[in-house]
Amino acid sequence: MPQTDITSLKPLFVVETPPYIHNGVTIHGMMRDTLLALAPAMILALMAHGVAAFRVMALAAGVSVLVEAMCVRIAGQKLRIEDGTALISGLLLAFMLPVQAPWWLVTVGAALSMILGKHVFGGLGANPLCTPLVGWACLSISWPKYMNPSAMVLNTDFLDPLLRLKFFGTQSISPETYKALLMGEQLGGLGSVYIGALLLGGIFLVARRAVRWEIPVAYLLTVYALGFLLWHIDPARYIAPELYLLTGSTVFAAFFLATDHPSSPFSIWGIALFGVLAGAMTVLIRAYGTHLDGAPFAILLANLFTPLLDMIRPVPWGGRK
Amino acid sequence: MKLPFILTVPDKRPLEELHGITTLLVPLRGHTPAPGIKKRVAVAANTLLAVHPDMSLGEIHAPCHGVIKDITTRHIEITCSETPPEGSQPVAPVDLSGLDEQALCSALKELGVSVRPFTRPCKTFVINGLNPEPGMVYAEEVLSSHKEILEAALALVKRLSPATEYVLALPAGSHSSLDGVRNHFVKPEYPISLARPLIKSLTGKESSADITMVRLHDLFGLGLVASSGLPRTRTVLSVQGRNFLVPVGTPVQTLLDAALVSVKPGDTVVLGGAMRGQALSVLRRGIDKDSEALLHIPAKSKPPLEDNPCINCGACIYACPMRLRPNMLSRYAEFEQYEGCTKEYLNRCIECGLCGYVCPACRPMQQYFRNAKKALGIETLQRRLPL
Repeated sequence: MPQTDITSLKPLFVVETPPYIHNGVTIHGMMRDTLLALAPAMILALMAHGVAAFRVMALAAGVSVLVEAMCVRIAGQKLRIEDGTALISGLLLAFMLPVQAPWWLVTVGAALSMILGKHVFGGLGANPLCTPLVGWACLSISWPKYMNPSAMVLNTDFLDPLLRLKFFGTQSISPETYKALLMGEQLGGLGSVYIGALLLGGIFLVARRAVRWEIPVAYLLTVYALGFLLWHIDPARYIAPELYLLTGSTVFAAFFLATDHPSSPFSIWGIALFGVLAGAMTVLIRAYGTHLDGAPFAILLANLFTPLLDMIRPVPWGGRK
Repeated sequence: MKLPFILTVPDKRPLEELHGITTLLVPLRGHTPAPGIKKRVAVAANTLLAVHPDMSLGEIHAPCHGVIKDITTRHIEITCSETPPEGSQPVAPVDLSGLDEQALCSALKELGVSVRPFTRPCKTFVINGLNPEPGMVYAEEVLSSHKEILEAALALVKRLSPATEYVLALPAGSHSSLDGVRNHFVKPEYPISLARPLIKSLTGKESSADITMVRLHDLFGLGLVASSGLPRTRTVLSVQGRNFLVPVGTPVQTLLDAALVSVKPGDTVVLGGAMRGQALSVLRRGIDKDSEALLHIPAKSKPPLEDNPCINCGACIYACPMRLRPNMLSRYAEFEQYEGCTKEYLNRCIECGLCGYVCPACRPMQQYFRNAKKALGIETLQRRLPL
């Protein structure tokens, strides 16, 4: 055995509390995965709309990051831009805006998302509502005309399927067009119309454990089941259940908005109920409400139930005392 | 998630012994040097070095012949020699047979054994034959190749413990056994090796009443004393997947050298397992009687701990074997709302480390829990409970 003078060695070690191994899923990694999951829809949007789509996405993401940096500085918190949460929030908001949205609309939406949706509550992890949805809700209530894709996007042959279903009868979309709808050949949010691409990205996200699978599954199942029930009662009055998924931002909301960690519950029953609640709201708003797309408001409403649902807790080892 | 938590290794890894150790740093845990133990005093192997008034803590003895170089509050440093140095008194083995329970307890304390786990009132005595944590690989070897040491210990335990039933917990598929002990097989996946999950799998009940669990490591330590009649001066531990039987006080640096591990600045050296061990700031430190593993974690092999806020993802809730809500617990502890920790059953936390393993925000969960436990005085209580 070699003789070692143990006093002469003085390297500096990293001293942490246990555990000393980690499963590798980090916030940064989650956001990188979310970006990858959004990529197919982003590419399709860029292919369809070119620089117009790029303009909205870049502006929303850029403003989000800047406003976050500003808020963090005012609040005297640690700057965590590199974790990517602001960038993703901005992109998620952009996905719900019409591609021809004016620059000021995008800027105001992104800034409001960050300020009202995240930083007034304390920043990362403290938002009671899904951050991009707060901005979206402010915009669609304040400037409904600018948020309406049928009014904003003029150079297109597509029709807004939500509008059609609402005002031109429940049979106005035939099953032959489902494939086109899946591929995003419809009018709606900049990125949220690419149902197929988003579904692919969502499955990737679940497989990478960046989001909990229970939320999208509970949500989509409820939407389909309740949609089926209504359609079964009166097919002339209610749309076919698959149209809830193929039009509007239902799939986008299921994988990217409802799964927002801070604003969704954490226990298994809480999550299941959250999904059911959001799903039921989506169908009810679309069937009876004045808003064409049910998903965003449904998620916001379900977010409000999160503190209540978080009161459901597992019985600790050895029972309650 | 399952892969790093398998607690068995397929091959046998014999206990290696180290030769030519020049310096020992025998750790003290509140012990005071025994009469006559001063700097530059020559001691023979097994000489009494330090004593503790607590009956449940064993005394400390010289693991080798040598001269005492230094005495601090944390350790006694001995410069080793091959033969007994001049002026030292040889130590004779103690005959433990024929002693009554009380006498046996004090004899064992004087031989450096912490007797409390073996005398705890119980009906069922469980020997935890699993490697307690990922990174420890000694259990199979001790159970198969050093059975006589364990059985010597068991003979003593049967004189000490009021238990009527003895159970050995083993990984499924193991062929080990001990005389007069019922085998209980479990799926060897962390955290089943910790007391509460193991007791649940054994009794089906979530209560540790009437059950005592001891680690194989402690039983082996008792066995070393029981089979030789000499004080507890050696211990078994795993270093980077290899097993060593070394004197207590062997410096960490010496062990790392023996295991051919080169440590660079920025790495982490862990005394104990990967899930519950203690990170060392210096390598000039002797291993203790209850050290079970020594691990080298290279820099950047895991994301560093940060004071990130909890993002409420719920991953820790799924991981927690005690069905607690580590997210709420850590938040209460973070903001020093300790009464909230009590409401979230902090006293049930066994510090298994699984919440920290899955936390995407890389929060220092254990640190929060330990702070809160200290503030609430749970720490002292838990030391007496079988964790």
